[in-house]
Amino acid sequence: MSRSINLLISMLFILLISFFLIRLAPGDPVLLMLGDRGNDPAQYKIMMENLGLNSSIYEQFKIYLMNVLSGNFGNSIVSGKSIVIELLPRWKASFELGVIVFIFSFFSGGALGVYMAYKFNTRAEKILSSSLLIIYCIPIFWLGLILISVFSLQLNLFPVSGRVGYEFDLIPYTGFYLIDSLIGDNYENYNFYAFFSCLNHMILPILTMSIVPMVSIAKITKVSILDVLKKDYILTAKSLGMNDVNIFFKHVLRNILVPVLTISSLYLINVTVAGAILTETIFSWPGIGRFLVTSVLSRDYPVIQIVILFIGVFILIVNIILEILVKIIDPKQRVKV
Amino acid sequence: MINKNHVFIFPFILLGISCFFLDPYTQNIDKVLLQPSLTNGFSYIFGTDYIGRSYLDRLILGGINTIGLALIIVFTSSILGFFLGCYAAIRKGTIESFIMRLSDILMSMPGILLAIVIVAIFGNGVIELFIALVIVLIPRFIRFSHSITSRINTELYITIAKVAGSSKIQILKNEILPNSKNLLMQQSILSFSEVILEISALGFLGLGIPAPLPEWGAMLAESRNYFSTNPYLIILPGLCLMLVVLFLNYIGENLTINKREKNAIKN
Repeated sequence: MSRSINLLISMLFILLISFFLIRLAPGDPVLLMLGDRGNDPAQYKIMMENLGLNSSIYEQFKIYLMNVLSGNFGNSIVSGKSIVIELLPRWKASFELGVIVFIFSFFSGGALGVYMAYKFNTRAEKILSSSLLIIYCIPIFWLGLILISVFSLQLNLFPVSGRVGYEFDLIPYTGFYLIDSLIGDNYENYNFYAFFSCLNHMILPILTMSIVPMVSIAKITKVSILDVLKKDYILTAKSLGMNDVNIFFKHVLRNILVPVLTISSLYLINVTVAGAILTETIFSWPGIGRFLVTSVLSRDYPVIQIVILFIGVFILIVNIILEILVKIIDPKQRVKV
Repeated sequence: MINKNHVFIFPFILLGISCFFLDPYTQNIDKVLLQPSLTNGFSYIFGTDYIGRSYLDRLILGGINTIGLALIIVFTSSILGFFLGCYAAIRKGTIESFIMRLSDILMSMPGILLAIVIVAIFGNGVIELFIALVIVLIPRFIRFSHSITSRINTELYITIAKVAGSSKIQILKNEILPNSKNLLMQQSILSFSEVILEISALGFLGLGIPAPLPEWGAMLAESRNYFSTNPYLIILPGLCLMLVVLFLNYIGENLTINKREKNAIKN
């Protein structure tokens, strides 16, 4: 019950932020949007009408709420196109990258954490954990630039920017290029080369984005495994003659999965979104983070408004899904006390 | 007295002294993109940037700008957050749930996203950046001090202090503050490194400290076009940033160990 109230309040807060964005901006937003045509009173009036700025603030919020609920997000000032049309392909580009980063960092971080926990207090573990600490301190926008200069400019292994090579013409069936490149009906090997090109474009952004979440998950996993290994049931299992692999899959993994998921869920999605904003700017990935930054730099307020709304609601939805997932995995939460 | 951790303060003192001799603004057209070398003379030892400004001076002053701003931000938000969190924990009731819920909501958004929104609303400048990052940081300190204070509040010595007739302010001053000082310090240092990263990330996106002032993130962004021929332009600021963050994280981690040792001695 309190969970759903919290959710409603968060939703309202995100709506309020995105609503007041235009109204709190310094100067007259209408003049700003009109630009050269700002001197014309008729144009000014039309723009006021379009933005709904000439009614009371309560009315305005009601109109805004109705617009958002009916999917009417308005037009971008810079391009003049409908925001939804601008937003959706970018959203898919970011989602494609984000999901892969999420999965990659979860598994690689988990594997590193398991390794460090089982080799605890050995030389290998000490070297690994201190090098992870150093990697964690690298600012990711710098890491991206270094990776570009080493792997793209010096070694010529990966492309510098973009989603797919210019020689490929993909039809956006789903918007996710990795899938699109495979399902397209083309002559032999074209699909394979297109898929390879997409993958090639993704490797550097994935590496850049997944460093921070990977290290944090490795830390959490290591600490929780060390915690579980001290428990009595591990000793019992050992004395019954179970081998380490069996103990790991039957006892350790089940017991660490819930704390690791709950601690990392909120943190992981935040880090991924924050990383996406920087990584997409570095690699010119046509995603939502870069869209946000360019529209902030060009003061495109309607776009900022909707992007903030989208990202906020997306974070909420992911949190809910992760919470339900934890409830399914954790038998303790299924029993009503 | 002085232990080995204090060694890390000396670079900062040197930075502070050297800022009186720096000149990060003079543009030398005949010395554009000078490679770093020892024969350049002292002020061009790290070369020059794309309009011929001394890179050493810009690096040092950029560090002072970033670290100074981060210090002010962390100081303000830790003090405000500590008192708000303690107030919420001691007062209880609707005020507590209001403060805690608001900070929960603010914490569920990524910090840099929140900062970008605030910069988008108010425009970019140093004061706007300060407001944005304080808003990003305060909820963390509120939650942190709230949980510590609620835990301490159930201890016996608080009850004894209450029975002895101490007021709420006296309890805060004499019991809660000394007991949460170390943890607050550690949290502040870890947040300090995070704020430095966030300031330079915003600077990199062009939303941070405005242009003529040197700043590491902005320096990285403006040398992006030249780095295939002049790699030092991106290596140096990033290295500085990484070393500062590494130092701060190291100090933060070491503080925990000291605290644990102290607790172990007490028990």
